[in-house]
Amino acid sequence: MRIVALYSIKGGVGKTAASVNLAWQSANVGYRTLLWDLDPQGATSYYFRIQPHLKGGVKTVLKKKLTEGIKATDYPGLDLLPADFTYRNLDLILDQQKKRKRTLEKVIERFTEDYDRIILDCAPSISLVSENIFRSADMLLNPLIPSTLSIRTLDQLSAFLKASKLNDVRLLNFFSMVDRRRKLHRELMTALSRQRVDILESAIPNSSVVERMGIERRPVSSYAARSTPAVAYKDLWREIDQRL
Amino acid sequence: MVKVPINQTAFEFVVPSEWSRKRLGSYLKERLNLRAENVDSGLEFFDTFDWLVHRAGWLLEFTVAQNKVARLRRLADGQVVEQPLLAEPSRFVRDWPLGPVRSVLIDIVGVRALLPRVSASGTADGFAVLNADAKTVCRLSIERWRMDDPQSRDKAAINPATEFSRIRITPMRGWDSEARRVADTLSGAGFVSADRNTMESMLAAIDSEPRDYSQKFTLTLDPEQAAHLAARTILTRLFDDLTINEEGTRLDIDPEFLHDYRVAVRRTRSALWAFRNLFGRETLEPFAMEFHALGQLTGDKRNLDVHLIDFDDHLKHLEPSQQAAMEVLRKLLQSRMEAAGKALAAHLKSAAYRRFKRDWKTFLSQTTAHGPSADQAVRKFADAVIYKAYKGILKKGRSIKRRSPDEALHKLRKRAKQFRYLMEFFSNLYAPGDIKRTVKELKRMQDLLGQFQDVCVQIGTLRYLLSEDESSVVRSALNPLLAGLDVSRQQLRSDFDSQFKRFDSSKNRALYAKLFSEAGGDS
Repeated sequence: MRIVALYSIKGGVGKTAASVNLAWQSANVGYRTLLWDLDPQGATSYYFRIQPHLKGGVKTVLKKKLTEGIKATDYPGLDLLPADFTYRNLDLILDQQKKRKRTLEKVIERFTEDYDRIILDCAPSISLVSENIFRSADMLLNPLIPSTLSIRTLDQLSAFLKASKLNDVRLLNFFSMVDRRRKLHRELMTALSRQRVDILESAIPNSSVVERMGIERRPVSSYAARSTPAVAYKDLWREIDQRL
Repeated sequence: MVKVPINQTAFEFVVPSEWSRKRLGSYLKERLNLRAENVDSGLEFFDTFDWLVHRAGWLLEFTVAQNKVARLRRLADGQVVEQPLLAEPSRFVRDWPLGPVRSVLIDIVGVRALLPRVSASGTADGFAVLNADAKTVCRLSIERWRMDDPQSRDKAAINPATEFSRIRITPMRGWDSEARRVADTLSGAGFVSADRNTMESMLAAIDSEPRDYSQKFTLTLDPEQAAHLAARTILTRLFDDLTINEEGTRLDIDPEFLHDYRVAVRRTRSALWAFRNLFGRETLEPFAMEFHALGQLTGDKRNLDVHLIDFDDHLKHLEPSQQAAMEVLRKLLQSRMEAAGKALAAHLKSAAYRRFKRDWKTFLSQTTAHGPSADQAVRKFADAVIYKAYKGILKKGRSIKRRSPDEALHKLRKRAKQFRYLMEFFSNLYAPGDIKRTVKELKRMQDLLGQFQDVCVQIGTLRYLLSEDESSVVRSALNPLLAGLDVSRQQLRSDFDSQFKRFDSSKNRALYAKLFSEAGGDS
């Protein structure tokens, strides 16, 4: 089993769209995949037409019956553990635990038998939850809009990982919501790809096809299989999977 | 009990024959929120040659649609486990991608190949059952199938007994209550739950019932029957076992065909030795020679099969650089195994082999015999021949000293095996409990001798590999493995002494004497 966490300090970077589409790609190539929507906003759950609700709320996360909350999506091999609004209190719950920074790691172990790939859609922020995720994930996947602010948050994240002695975390970045018509986007992408080795080649375009996910309420590939974004997610998943 | 990864009990209902596909479709659409999905045009049922899946209580079906699904149905309770298959699945389950069907099957079928057994043609209209959010909460399919009769070339000849229609409701994880609600709707409308054995009766109708093939040897003999007639029954059954595994051996479908073929050859050889007083040595001699030659020929291929299986086990203990060096040796083994396979296949296709089989069949169909014990009652004959073989084991075992060569233990292992074969041939002449009690210590000794043999074969494999490649990388990789195996070998060797003592205890000897000697006498 391999765990990929989609994470960003900044919101609105295409993180949830990436979680949904990468999880679909993972299932589509044959991995038994679980997508855990950890963001209390519940957008991932919404995209799969599943109510963002976990029986018993956030406290269930620490209990065995958490697995009972898993719901099949419409797509073979892809299950979802929906979000719950009470996830906003997950930090408080984790803080009460003995091994407060490693609790989620233990929780995820329960899924080992049933799944080959687990995708975590994390809420944007740096918190105890994120620290837990950094310790449990095999790969931290950071969507990066080619803008100065976004790149600043990448520096913040790198600094945080270093300061927290989380040197083992495998951080990989990919460009998201890219508009190739914009000179700034092109320049920043070229410059950053030269500077850093942890940038993946595949980039997700800023596209109305992705925006339509909110209306379609399903992954891009299921309604626009040949569109540029669908192909981009496929390529991105291939790159990720090779590194897992 | 095999662990089912995700609990999915499908609901199945019978469709009365007067309901047309169209009528049923519109009837269901009125009551349920359905979205049409894929249409299937066929089903294929797979099992191993010896029906291991069926014997474990499951039925394995593959859909023929573009999005192939492997579906396991548990016959006892209708539990269904599904796994989407992205590509044409390998006939070996170990090569499948991970998934719930694979996890169940892997323990059931082991190294055996999955083969297509029966197929059905027809249609399955698949639907997604949606909730108010248009989310799929379970899947429903309306299926009409007719089993394809492998015997009949005439597809138009419809056998109504092989037609069946069903509505299947497949639950999805986390949405069980929704599937139950759909099932309740159908029950409420008067649909009757399908008999779980539908498929079995279909198989029976096209005469494709799971064949009663088993490695286990069971025969019913009449204790008063003339020994030579009973012997022919035994030899005929062994010939059936041999024949049944011949094609799979020749085509090398999986290693078990050759294994079972060899067991039939070995059993026959033991029988020929034990039956020499029934038919006369000269009559049996030419056949015994043929079976001996078959043993040799199949042994070459089997040894290389085993070398290759061992090879992978050994490789796990090596460093990556050593593993790379060993790959050359693997290729060598592989090519030798293929050559041995070709030689064996060529022999099994040869005129000489056909002639031998014809002659053997003729012998088996004869009804007279001129050996000195030919007309003895079979129970009496069995007592004598079994007791004699038992005494042979004692003699052999007692002659083994600490310094005896390993070969002596191998010979004893073979004797013990022959002895067990004899007991199997005649087992129905004795009360089942009696045999079980008598063989308890023997079995333990056989297990130990078997382990000893395995270790010696592994040592043999490594020495063989060393003789093929004496480079320092290979030597440094294999020598520690050899040393480890030698420690196990010596340990087993010293365990043997105490185990043989238990087998040769006065209490155990009394058991054998009571069962075989007191009634039949010592001949």
